[in-house]
Amino acid sequence: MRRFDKNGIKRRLVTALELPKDVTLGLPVVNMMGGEEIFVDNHKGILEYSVAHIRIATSVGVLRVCGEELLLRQMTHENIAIAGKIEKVLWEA
Amino acid sequence: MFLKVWNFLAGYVKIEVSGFSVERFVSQAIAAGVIFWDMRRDGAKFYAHISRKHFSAAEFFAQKTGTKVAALGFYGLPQILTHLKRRLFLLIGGFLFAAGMVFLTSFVWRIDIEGTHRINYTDITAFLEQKGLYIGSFRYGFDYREIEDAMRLQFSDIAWVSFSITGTRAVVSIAESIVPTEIIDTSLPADVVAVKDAIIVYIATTAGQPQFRAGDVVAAGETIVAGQLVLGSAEEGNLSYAYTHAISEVWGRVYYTMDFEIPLTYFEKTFTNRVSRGYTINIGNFSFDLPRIFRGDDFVYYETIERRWQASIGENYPLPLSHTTTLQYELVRHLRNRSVDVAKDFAIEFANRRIAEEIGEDNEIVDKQIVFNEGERSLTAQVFLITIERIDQTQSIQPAQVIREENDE
Repeated sequence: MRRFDKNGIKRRLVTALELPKDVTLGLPVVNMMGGEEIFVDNHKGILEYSVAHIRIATSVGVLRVCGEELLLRQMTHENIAIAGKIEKVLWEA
Repeated sequence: MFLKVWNFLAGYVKIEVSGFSVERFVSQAIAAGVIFWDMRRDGAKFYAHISRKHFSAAEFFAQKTGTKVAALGFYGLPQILTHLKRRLFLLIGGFLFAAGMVFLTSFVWRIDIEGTHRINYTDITAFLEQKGLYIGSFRYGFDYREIEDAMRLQFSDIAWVSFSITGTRAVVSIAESIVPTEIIDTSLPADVVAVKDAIIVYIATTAGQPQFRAGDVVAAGETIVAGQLVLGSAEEGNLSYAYTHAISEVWGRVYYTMDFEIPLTYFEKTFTNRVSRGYTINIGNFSFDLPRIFRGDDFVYYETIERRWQASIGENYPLPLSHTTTLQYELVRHLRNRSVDVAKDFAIEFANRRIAEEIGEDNEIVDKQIVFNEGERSLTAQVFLITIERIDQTQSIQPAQVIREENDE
């Protein structure tokens, strides 16, 4: 018997109705301004923070930001603003 | 920017977090609504700013996650006010200062009058004083439009005027009217007289009785064309006079002589780099001199430069406080000789300048000769100049003169 996938139905419905996924599914939104700033919305907290890399928990996995002299410029329960020399942004498997 | 201002107004704390689960502390705190900014990691420690109201929540989560939170400093307006509460006299001083500034900026401390050429500056300031506006007068309560209207009525040369008081500066902007051309009433009897001694080279009379012809010599003030017309003759017993407004264009050959003397020695100035500075403090109408830093009493020759500085809050709020710096630069004079050729060049330059001032560009120069005479100490230059210029001027015949002559008849 096929397993009932609640998230799958929700996703298909959101796609069909063209609703914003960040609002309806709580997907993280990552915006970068050059290599100097990165803004992450809909995060679920930070997992690790050092001047060289920051790991941020999101609903779809862990986002890793690597660079130099990283600074958490602002952090609220909805978004994170990171400043510094950003070299890499990647999703951890 | 707005966030920074808000954080300053609300007050904020710089914290230091240490321990093994700093990230956990941050995650739990932000989930509870604590906002962090300017977070920086330095080794095992972690620094950030949080608002004052979130500090107790941060302490709670630190205890919960086994980390330590220490306040490194409290900043912002609440902290400043807390400090000021303990410094009552500073607060009073600040209040008095603010009150003083408000008081001082309630008066007019400068009057700028722009755009005047023909109208005298002092006439305008005297008129404004009559209206109650002078340096030191209260700046409120003036009806700008009323003053503008009154100025237009008072000064016929004003075509447009704008009056306003901005800050402590009153500004009067004026546009002067064009000089009206003189309207000649040709119904009144008038003569044409010579304005300069000249030899007449051209005369064209439209009305009146010419007294001279081309080639005649005329002296300044002499009537060239008479407005009095002689009718009949005394011999025939029918002598009578008629009067008209004489109109004539008369050009004459005018002779000028100008003398110049150029000394063959002059003084060359060399500054010694010694400067005497004097300061005068002006508070309103009261002023006093500060002792000179270097008196410069032994200066034999010096040049003086004055600089004035007025205290002002921005451009529009000059205050009644100013100081004048008087700088006296000492100089030494060396006697130098000037060659005759250089003196001649100077003489020619001076002559040309004076000719341009006195003769003007409209008149034709037909001959110019310069004769130099070399003296022991100076060079004299005599300029002989011949020009062709208009020499006529209308001069009214006095009514009394006309009546008397009519009665004589």
